[in-house]
This record gives sequence, C-alpha cells and structure tokens, in this order.
Amino acid sequence: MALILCVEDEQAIRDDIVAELQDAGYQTVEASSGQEGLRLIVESEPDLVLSDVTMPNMDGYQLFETLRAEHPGLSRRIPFVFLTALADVESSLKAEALGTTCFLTKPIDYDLLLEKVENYLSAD
Amino acid sequence: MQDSKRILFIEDDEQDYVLVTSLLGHRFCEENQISWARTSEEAIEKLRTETFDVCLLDFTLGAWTGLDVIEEANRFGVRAPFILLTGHESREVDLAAMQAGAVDYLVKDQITGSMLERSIRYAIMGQNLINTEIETRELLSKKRRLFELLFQATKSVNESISTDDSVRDVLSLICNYLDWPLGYFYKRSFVVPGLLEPTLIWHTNGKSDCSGFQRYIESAPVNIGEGLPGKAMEMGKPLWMDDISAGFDFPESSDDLNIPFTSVFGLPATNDGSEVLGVMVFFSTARRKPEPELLSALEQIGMQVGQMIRRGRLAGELKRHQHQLEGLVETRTVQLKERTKELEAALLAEQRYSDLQQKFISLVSHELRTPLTIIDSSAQRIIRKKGQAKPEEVLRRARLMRESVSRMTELIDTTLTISRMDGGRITADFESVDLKSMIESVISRYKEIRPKQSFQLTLSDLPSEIDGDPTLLDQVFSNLISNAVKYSSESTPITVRCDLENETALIHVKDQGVGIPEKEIGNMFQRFFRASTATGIQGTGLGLTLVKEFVELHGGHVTVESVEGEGSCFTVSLPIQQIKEMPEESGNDVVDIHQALLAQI
Repeated sequence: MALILCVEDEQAIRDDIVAELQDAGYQTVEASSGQEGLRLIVESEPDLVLSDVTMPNMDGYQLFETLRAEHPGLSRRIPFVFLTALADVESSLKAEALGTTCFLTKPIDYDLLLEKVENYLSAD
Repeated sequence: MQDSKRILFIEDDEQDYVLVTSLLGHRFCEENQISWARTSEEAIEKLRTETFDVCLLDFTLGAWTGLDVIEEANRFGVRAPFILLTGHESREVDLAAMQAGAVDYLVKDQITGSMLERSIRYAIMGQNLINTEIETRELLSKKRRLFELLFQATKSVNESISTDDSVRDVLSLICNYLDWPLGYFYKRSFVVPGLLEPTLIWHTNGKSDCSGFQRYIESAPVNIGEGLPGKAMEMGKPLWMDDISAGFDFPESSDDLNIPFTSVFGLPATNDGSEVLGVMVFFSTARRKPEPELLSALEQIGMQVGQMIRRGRLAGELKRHQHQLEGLVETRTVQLKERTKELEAALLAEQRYSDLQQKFISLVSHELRTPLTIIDSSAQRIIRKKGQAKPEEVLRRARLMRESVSRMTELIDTTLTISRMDGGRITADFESVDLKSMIESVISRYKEIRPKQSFQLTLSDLPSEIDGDPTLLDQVFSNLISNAVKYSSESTPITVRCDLENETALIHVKDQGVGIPEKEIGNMFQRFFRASTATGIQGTGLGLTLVKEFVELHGGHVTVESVEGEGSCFTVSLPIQQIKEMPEESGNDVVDIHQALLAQI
C-alpha cells in the first residue's frame, strides 16, 4: 500500500487531508513544517509528497529545492503535489520552473486531489 | 650788419680798447652796443647778468688769462662766442684758445677793421647756428618726453587689469613728468552724479610728508563747482592754477590746513569730453605755468583715463549682471533639483505604497483562503459521509467552521481598518473612558476562549476616567491581550498592570511566552512584520501596527521589552487628559500618507 507524506502547517487542514487519504486506503505520515517534512522524506521515503506552499521558515518550494540539492535520487523518484493558496500565475510559473509534477489550489477539492494522487501512483 | 648786436669787450688796457674800437669804426660802434669790461671780475659779472651776442676778449687780464674767463663763463652756461685778442702770435695760445671754446684768435698788431668785423660776423652766425641746433634738440627732447608720457599713459590705461592701479600709474607718470610730488584721484559718485568722492588713490614721491593734508583730502567729498577739483569737473577741461595763494579755495574750508603747495592742476577724466568720471589733481611746491602743448597732451590722457573708467564700470555692471544671472540659474537649479528630489521621493513612496498594497492583498487573500479551505474541507468531509457522520463529528466541524468564519471576519475588519487608516479617515473621538472596566471586559472575552488561562490584574492606580476614544482603545487592548494569549502557554499567567507617571497612565501587558529575538524588536510595529518566534501561530502582522497608530492618535506611545523564550511586555503610555483637540490627520495629501506608511516599514 502506497505511503503518502502530508506537509501542512494548519492542523485542521492537515487532519482532514490525512483522514481523506486514509479513507481512500493510503498509508500516511504527516509533518507540520518544511523541515519536518524533509526529515520524514529521508526517513520514510514516501511514494508521494503532498505539500502546502506557504509555510513559515521553509516553504513548500524550498522543501523541494533542498531535497533536490541534498537528495537528488529521492527527488527524482518521489512526485510532489503542491497545495497552494496563492493560485496566481506567479506561483504556478514558479512550480513549473521547479519541474514539479503538479499543484492544486486551495480550497482543496478532495475528488480532484484523490484523482491526481491515484494518477501519479499508478503511473509510477 | 643789419641789426644791432650786443658786444662785450673785455680789455684791461684802455689804449688797446681805443685801438680796437677805432679799427671797428665809428659807424660800427654806433650801430651796435659795445660794453666794456676792464677787469676779469667785471667781465664775469656782466656775463652773469646780461646777454651778449659775442665777446671780444684780451688774452692777458691781470691775474687771469682770457682762457680763465672763457672757462668760468662756460661753467655758468654762457653761450656767446668768444674772440680772443692777443699781443703776439703764439701757436700754443692759439691751440689753448681753440680748446677753451674760442671761435677765433686774432693778433692785435695784425688785425684790420674789416678783418675784426668779419670775425665778429662769423662768430655771431656760427653761434646762431649752434643756438638753433640746441633749441631744436631741446624741443625734440621735450616732444619726446611728452610723447613718452602719452605712450606710457595710453599703455597703462589700455592694458589695465585694475582701474585703480592704472589710475595710480597715470598719476605717477604725470607727477614724474612734471616733477611734482603729489597726485590724487577723485572719482565721480555712482549715486550722486554731481559729487566727487574721495578715493585712496595717490601718487607721492615719498620725500615730502603731507599725511595730514592727505588725510583731509581723503575725508572730504567735493561738490561740482567747488574748489579746484569741483571746477575742473564742472568745466570738463584741465584747470591749472600756478599760484593758489592768490585765493583759490582748494579744497573748500581748507584754510585751517597749512597747505604746503603753490601750484595745483586739476585734470578731469572725461569720456568723449562729455561725461566727467573723475578728476586727477596734482600739487606742486614750485610755481609753474603750463605750455599749451602740455595741457593738450594731458587733456588727452584725461580722456583715456575717463574711457577706461567707463569701460571698467560697464565691465563691472556686466559682471554684476552675470553674477545675478548665475545666481538666478543656480537658485533655479537648486529648486529644480529639490523639486526633482521631492518628486522622486513621492514616486518612490508611491511605488513602495503600491508594493505594500500588493503584498497586503496577497497576504490577505492567503489569510482568507486558509479559513476558507478549512470550511470547505469540513463541508466536504460531512458530505462524503452521506449522512452517516457521527453527531459529535458534525458538531466539531460546525465549531471549526464558525471559528474559521470569525477568523475571516476579524481579518476583513482589520483590513478595512487599515484601509481607513491609510486613507487618513480614522480620528480619535474623545470621551471619558473607564479604562479599568474596558480592560476587564476584554480579559473576560479571552477567558471564554481560554478558560485555563490565568490573568493577574493590578489596575488600582488607573484613574476612573481618562480622555480617549473607546472604540480605538478597545482595539488597542484587545490586540495586546490577544497577542499575549496567542504567544504564551495557558500555564503561565498574563499580567496587566498600571503605573502613573505625572499626567500619564502607563499600562503594561506582560506575558511569559515565546518572546521576540532581540534583533527583531525594532521591527515589531512595522506592517506585516511577524517575529520568527511567531511561526505556526496565525496572524496578519497588522495588529501591532494598529495598536501603535491608535495609541499615537491619543498623543501617547507604545513600547516593547522582550527576551526570546522568556516573554514580552508591551507598555502603552496614555495622557490622562487631552490638553487640546488632536490635530486632524490630513486625508488629502497622498504623499503625506505614504510617508506615514513608509515610516512604518
């Protein structure tokens, strides 16, 4: 069964995402910050990362960049799905420039979220 | 001989005198004036006091010889030719006579009347030639000196760098030419056209001390027509007085002064002979009358000086105009630069304001999206349960949704307040406020949210009434107490304490929470700034901005002390009484508001 890491600083949102994923039959690990997320990626090597973008200290993009710089192997293997409140052109451009697999806007449509997750995992 | 000649016959032997005069003949002696000197002394005396066309001179004259007389006569500049008469022929005497300057040498025994007459005629003719030559030479030398004076004066005037120096030069040149000791220059007043102002431009030969006279001249302006300088100015022509003791009042009321001069000469400096720009005055102890030629040359020099002064004045005016123009250009340039700077500053402020607004909108939209996400997420979760959701779950989610809604409402309110504040539309409406009750009511609101949180209040010193705007003050203390609650643990108490200091109430809100890193304390009241220790705790970074603004609307101020990890203490100082109406914030000038905004950044 696939393991998904959820990185989100707002606990209420994180709780719901995790519950939704578990209801869909996925295993989950969760992190409330970018640093914690980075540590968990290395420790548990998840099959996919769902990450918020706007977080204090280390945001979602920085998490991705740090991973790519420090653990290029993991970065190539693990797809990232960004969740962003800043659904403007600038942030989408930035995500694409990073070579990211996908991003979803907040508020989150869980049907869309599960569809994306399933697509990435089956493609893998 | 056509006209009568004056002949001096120096002869100590009467027989010889008679002999010679008889040789010359009765007619010759009638037609000419023959003066007889019997001794060398008498001869010298006559030569000294009278003028002769020719001298007949005996070689032997008692103790003197004729040669001695010639030598003596030469010494005091007698020009008359000498014809030497001697008793016997001698080659030596002949040579000596020639060397002494005698024009002829005759032996008495051998001369005839016609020979003597011819000798006299030739001597006079020769002397006439010599005289003409001397006179011509003197005239030439005089002309040359005058020409030299004109040339030097013209040169000085035309190569003038400083008008004063050139005038001084001209004074010196004229004084040296005349051999006069003192020269002075009066200039015509700029302000009063009929007035000659004294200057400090002198020429002195340095020999005679007339410092008292000089000081007097320097102290006395001269009106047109007054004294010699004033009269020279009036006439516009050179004015020469060869004897001022004759009653020429120079200068007026100078009777008390012992003027050591006899002759005075005033030379106006004219421009084309029409405008008098100054008067040069020269003084002499000797009486001297001027030749017309000298006067005309000096008049020319006066004109040159006048033209130079006029050029100098025009150049001065031109320079002044130029200076004024340069000054004007400089002032304008400075003004333009200042204006440019102001505009640049305004533009920069506009840009920063625009950036700030962009950032503000971006942050607000993010802050709104988060509670929206929570609401939407909860709704989706309930829907997905298809009516099978547990009642507790639904209740929890409903509470969560309400909390999110209140979070959004709060954010919208703050945003609106900030927006009104930026527009300068927030002013304090003062009334009597019971601050103690207000703070207590704020705290009771937070006790509902955080029942376990303990508060320690020491508000007994707080006056029962202070002048304030209740709405604004409520926001101030809500924000501060909300922050204290948000950034500290429930297990540590929050202290609200009041001190009085003169007419000011100091209210301290203290927590034992996360604190603020030292280097961030200075930024705490900046818009959107959030301390690094606030990570993971929701907030807009706008609350303290409002606190500061609102306190300042009361004429008070807010400060913060904090130690990272130990807690923070915010102190609000509020005047108990508002002495006067707070000046209304100007809401019209965009630049002002922007500058106020910039001050926060």
